[in-house]
Amino acid sequence: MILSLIVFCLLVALLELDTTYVGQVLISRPLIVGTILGALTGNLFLGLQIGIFTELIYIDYLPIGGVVPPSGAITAAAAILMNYCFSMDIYFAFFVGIVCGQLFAFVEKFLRTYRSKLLDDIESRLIDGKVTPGRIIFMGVISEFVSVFVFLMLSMIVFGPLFVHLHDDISEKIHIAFKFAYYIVPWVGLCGLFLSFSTKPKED
Amino acid sequence: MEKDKIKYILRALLLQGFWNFRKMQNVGMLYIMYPYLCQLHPEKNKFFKRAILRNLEAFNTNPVMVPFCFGAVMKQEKLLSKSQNDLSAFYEQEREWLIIRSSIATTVASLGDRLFWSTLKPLSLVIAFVILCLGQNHFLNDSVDLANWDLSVISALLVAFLVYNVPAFITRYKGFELGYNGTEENFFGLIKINWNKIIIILKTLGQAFTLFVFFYCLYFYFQDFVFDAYLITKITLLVAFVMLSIFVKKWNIPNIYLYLGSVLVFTVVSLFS
Repeated sequence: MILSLIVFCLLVALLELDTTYVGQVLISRPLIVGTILGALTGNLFLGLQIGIFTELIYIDYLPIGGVVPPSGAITAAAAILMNYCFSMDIYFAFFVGIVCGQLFAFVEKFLRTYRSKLLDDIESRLIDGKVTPGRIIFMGVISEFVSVFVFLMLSMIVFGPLFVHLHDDISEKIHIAFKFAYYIVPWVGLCGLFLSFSTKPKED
Repeated sequence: MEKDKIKYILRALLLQGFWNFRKMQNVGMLYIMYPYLCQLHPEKNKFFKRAILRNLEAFNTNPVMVPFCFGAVMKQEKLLSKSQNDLSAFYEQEREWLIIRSSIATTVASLGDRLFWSTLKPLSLVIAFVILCLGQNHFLNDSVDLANWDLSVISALLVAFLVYNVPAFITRYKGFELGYNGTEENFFGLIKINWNKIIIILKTLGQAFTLFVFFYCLYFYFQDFVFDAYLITKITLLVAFVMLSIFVKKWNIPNIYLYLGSVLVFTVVSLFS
């Protein structure tokens, strides 16, 4: 289980690079990450559903300018892996995925701020020819890959056992509450999707 | 230049490899430009260093549309390398370089964000939904025959990938050409394309597909339900949250807060009922 978890986290870290750092060809979109992980963990349908729900819930976020949206790939991956590794109910796993996606946005902001601090030194090295831009880009990509991998592993280590510990104490009422919240996601998401195609300019 | 086109377009895939809050995509832009600058300044003299410094200025644009920018900037770099013997002409050319670079970056960013992030990305998603629906795969249901999933799931993912990436690749490929061969009069090839018309057509198509998916899901979700209190509760919740979703959009509140709010409200209600 540990080995397969490591492999899945490495795969997600690789796919997540596409979100910002390499390509932006949308192989990191939750629909694709969810389906791939679902197929690998033996539950294609669940992976696809989580992928679709994640896409719909994040439909309002656009990576424009300095905006750092929550990570859809991490949200979908965390939810599927929580369900696979810790048998977490899907409505709880989705909630944990959302929390992980939001938390990773803070990690991403930290990385971007840290790079800003390094920028003066890097620029002078580039001008002096001590380093090539390719090497700097490579470092940026590797740091992102490692950050995603470490973050996902830590999320699994923290949230998974915590859920297992609390599982028996969670009342049936809480289950129903989370189930209902999970149930409204696609409908609210489809509304958001429809409104995202609006051609009317937004009111101030 | 023609033979190097693919090389520059591939390098552009790493534009955001060192994204930072201070100068955003500046290192990525230098990474794209670097082989061309080395080609223009083989002796790597002070003009080469100045070119590096110049290209490290703050830069931010849409990653798909960036070939328009580096195409135009490469043309300006070529002109700059030819005016090295006349310093006053060089500085004048350099000022023009900066104006062109920042103005084209802002314009293509606005177009690219509207076309690719706000239109083609959600459109590719909704087209995937339509394929899943046409394949009789109701993705909201939890009792699905997994054996039926393979073909429609694979085609949905493939079509979603292509709907976004084929226009993106064409834009990257033609954008570089138009940017390099364009002039200030035709704004580096940008005004040759009616972007607004394309965006409006695609958005209308997206709305039609979304309505189809919404009503399809509604029909399949409720067709087998027995008319009882559970069904009434579900329908009431659905209508309430759909209305709420439309309402909160007026304040630009993202869906995620609606979900988190519903988790909180349902938990409180269920605990005290």
